[in-house]
Amino acid sequence: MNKKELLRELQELDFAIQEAVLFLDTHPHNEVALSYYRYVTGLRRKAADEYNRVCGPLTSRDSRGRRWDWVNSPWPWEREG
Amino acid sequence: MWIYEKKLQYPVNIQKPDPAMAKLIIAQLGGSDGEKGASDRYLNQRYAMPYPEVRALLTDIGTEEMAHEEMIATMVYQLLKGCSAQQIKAANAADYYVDHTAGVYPQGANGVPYTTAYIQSKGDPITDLSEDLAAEQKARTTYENLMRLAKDPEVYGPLLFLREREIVHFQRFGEALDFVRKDLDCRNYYRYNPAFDR
Amino acid sequence: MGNVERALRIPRSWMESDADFAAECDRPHRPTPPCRPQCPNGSHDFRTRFDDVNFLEDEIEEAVSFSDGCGCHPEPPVCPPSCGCDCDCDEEPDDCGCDHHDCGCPDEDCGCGHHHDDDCGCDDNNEDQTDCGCGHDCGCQKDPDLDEDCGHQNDCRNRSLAMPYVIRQRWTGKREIYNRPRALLRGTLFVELDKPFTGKGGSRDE
Repeated sequence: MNKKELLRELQELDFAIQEAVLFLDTHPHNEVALSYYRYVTGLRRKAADEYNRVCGPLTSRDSRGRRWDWVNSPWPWEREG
Repeated sequence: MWIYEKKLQYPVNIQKPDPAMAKLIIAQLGGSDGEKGASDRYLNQRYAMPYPEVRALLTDIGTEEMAHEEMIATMVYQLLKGCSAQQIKAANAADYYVDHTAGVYPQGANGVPYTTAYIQSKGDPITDLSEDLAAEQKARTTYENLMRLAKDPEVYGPLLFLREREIVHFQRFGEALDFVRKDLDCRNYYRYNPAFDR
Repeated sequence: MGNVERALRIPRSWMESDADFAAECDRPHRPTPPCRPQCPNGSHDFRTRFDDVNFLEDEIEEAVSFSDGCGCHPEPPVCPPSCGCDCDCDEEPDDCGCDHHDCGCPDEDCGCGHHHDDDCGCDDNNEDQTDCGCGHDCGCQKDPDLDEDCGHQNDCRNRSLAMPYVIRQRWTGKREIYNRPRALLRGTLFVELDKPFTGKGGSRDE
């Protein structure tokens, strides 16, 4: 996937997770929600690793390599999200 | 604490500047019913909330509202970007430009700066959740008002998304009231304030 | 409005046009996914549905036709029938209360005990009614989440004056969610929470 697709994939996964999280906050014992949460967070882990590798650090804790790439452009408001 | 992720919750990619629209959309950042107020409200209410599920919900929704602040600010930034002073003046946005150039300054559509007076954190779970239900509806109406005026699909899409989030949040706050009620006497839920009495 | 959405290619909600709204009940309602004919014995793996790109289209059509678009008092009941719980706001206590042995709640007797205890075993202490928050009603459970279908709050008998109530959403594992790309563009994962705005220009335009 290219950078744009990786970003989009991560946004979609994080959104699905957020919806599951809010649902679980008010339905803490719902097995369907818990199963869905485990499923998408598993996918998310892989997607985030790939994103960090290809696009650069997602958070200031994800910077690898020798350069301080956290400061790099583009920042989210400079590009499509 | 908060950690920041370098991405928007939903993509914003406005190609066509529109300072007039920027002045309206900024209402959802610094206005009475905007995302900044929502975020402040929920994150401050959570401390006095005695129920763990509701604390979690207030934290999670409050955090999401911060992401929405970022989206609105991005929309304002992109709607102003690249305009000359003359273009801004022609769009009747010169009053904003004079004080803030093409920067982002949280204020309402009427120019009134954001204030904590827009929110309440009452320290009573039923009161706070009722405030939250109302807040989500106010935000929804505001987004609908903006959607009627948005011609650019790149503006409409994020507004549609943000409006729908208000509806989902309303649903969750409504469900949260169940957790408050379950420990109280259903013959009289107002017998005492569970955050303060007993 | 419709043109703007299509220009951006935001996928349609499950209710596409005003005609869909008109076809529904005129009661306030929510669209309801149809209930499964059987309660599952063990769990089944529904994860395989979530990535199915085509999951949405036909599932939604079926859900719409099955439910008639009406929701508040769905026929058949949304809860699995073995629960014995009716999600109606009927006055009749045919819900999962103390009297029904087929209620399918974890406790055969819904935690009420085999006799008609006023406080439904909400608390071990039968004397202090304020503990269980049930008042004198049966069918209350302490944890609204463990009592999803039987209705801590969905049961109108347990509601009180001077209180706002929002119906608890259910997620039973079938037909309730969008695929991920559509969910992001619609602003929610849940089909039945997708409530599109069709106000167009406003002030009764046209």
